[in-house]
Amino acid sequence: MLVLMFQIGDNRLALDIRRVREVVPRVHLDRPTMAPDWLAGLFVYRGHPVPVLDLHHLLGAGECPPHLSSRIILVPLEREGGDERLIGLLAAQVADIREINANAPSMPSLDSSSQARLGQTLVEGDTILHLLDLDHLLPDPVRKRLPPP
Amino acid sequence: MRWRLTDYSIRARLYVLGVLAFSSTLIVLLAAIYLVYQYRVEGPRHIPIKYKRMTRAEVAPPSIYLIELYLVLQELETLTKPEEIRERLTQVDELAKQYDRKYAEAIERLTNSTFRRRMENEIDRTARELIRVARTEYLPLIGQPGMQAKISEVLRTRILQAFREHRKAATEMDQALQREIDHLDEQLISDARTSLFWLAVVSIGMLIVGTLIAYLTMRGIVEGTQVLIHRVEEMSLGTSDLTVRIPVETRDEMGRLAEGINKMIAKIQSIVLKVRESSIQLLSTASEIAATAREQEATVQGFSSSTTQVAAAVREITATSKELSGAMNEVNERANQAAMLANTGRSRLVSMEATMNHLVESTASISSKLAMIREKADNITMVVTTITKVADQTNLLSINAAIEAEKAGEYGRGFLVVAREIRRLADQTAVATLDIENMVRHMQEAVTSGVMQMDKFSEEVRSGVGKVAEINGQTGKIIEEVHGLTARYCEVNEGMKNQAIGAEQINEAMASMASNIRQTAASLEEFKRATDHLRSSVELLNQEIAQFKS
Repeated sequence: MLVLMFQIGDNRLALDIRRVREVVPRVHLDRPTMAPDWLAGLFVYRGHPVPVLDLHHLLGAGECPPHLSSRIILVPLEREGGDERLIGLLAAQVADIREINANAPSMPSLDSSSQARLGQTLVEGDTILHLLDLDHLLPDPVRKRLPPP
Repeated sequence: MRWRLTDYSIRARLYVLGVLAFSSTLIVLLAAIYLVYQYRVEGPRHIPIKYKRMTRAEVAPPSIYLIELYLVLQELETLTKPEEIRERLTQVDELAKQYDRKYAEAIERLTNSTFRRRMENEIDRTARELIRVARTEYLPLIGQPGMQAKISEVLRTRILQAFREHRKAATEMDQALQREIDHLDEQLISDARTSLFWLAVVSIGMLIVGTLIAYLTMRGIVEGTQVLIHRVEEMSLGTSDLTVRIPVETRDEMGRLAEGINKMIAKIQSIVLKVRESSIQLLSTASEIAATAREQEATVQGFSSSTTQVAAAVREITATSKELSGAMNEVNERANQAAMLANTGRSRLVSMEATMNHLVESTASISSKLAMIREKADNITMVVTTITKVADQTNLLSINAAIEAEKAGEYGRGFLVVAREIRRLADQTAVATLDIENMVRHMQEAVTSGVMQMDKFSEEVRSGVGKVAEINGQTGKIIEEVHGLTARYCEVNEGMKNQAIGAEQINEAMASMASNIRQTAASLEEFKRATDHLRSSVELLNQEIAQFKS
């Protein structure tokens, strides 16, 4: 399957391309006051305000580096009632799409909450990938604290 | 503090003595005058006795007349002739009258009431009784015959009795008066004796006190004077102990005199001490002077030999001056040659300065060209940044294209491949851009260091130009100096000649100095003799002073 590759801290991560709506450059973000650390800010995408989450903060990997390849991945998020809303994920090294074998051998997850939140660990070629699972990444408390659309 | 006579001045004591003598004499004299006045004849103490005696004299007369009367009465006893009897009778009347008169006189003068009463009561009463008995009982019987026996009886009994009583009273009163007079006399005598006794006692007492004070005063003066005289005689002998002081016990004139002498001795002592110190110092000074004189003598001798040496040295100087004159001329020629060389060096330096200036200009143009290269490199960096942005955009576009192609499913497969190729191209572009960026950065660093080195070189060249200018100036100065030297050499030559003349003069001065030194040696000899005299005099002074113990 096709995955979008990016990097959080020292970890290489992959996201199923079918879950991605679009990749946009890191634009200016409006950051509301009293917002949690992991909320990088809001920007307007086609007439709708979209909240952007800093994956580095969310996974405890410090600050997102200010490079050109640090981009926002727009993903649709299903909500109760069947309709969906868009959220942005700020990540580094968002510059490659790769074909991976879905049946690649997976590594047992280490007993660490942050590692667990990275999702399934795969070995692809000579690199270790974490296949990101959005449902694991955004637990209910985080979703509830997202600003309303 | 105990009272002492010596606490008062001698003058005060003498005054007291004089006043005491005068006053005691006056007191005794006044007392004597008083006593003489009191006890003189007709004095206050003599008058009562005199009156008593007068009283006694006045009391007697009436009695005498009565005695006479009684005698006449006795005569009448035996008389027979009438003429005689008549005569006797008239005599009796006469005597009676006389008595009355005398009595009246006596009673008038008696002032003492005791004696007056006694006179009236006893003497007069008995007298009147006698007269009355005579008149009434006796006289009528007279001349009558046959009455002889009666007359005798009356005379023998009544008249005799009365007469006896009268006599008794008179005698008693007289005795009483006599006793009183005796008593008064005794009293007077004893009073006078007592007064005289006390007068004598007072006189003797005052005499003793006066003598005592006079003795004490005199003794104080004499003793004090003897101590002072003894001390002063000791001092005058000149071999006295100056540390001893006269003990001052009194506060009178002698004490003050002793204090004065003590102060004088202290003064002499201090003077002697100072003289002693001074003489010792003088002695040491004399010794120093003698030593100095000896040293001076040695110095003069040394001086004499030095003079000879100086004369020899002056001769040497003269010879050396001549040699120096020759050497100077040689040096002058060399200096002129050096000046010529310096001139050629100077012209070469001028051409070198021009070359240096040219170098400075070339360096400046190289610097400006390097700056231009740097500017160009900056432009290249801007282009590279733009290329990088384009590559980035291309990469993003390829990703989004891949996402859209995936959504299109089977129809998008071909497009997916195109998207991957675009992404690869973009990546290659990015890598190439990175290489260019690195190269440009290296070039920029090289240019920067080149500019810095150019600057340093330019600075060095500039300082080289400055140094060349400096050397040029110094060379100019050297040439000037060398030119000046020639004139100086002439001066030096002149000076040399003068020096030769001066040396001659020094030689002459040395000769006169040698004679002066001989004279100085002679006077030093005299000075030494004088110093020896001084020393012996000071020693004599020391011996004299040593006589005083201080």
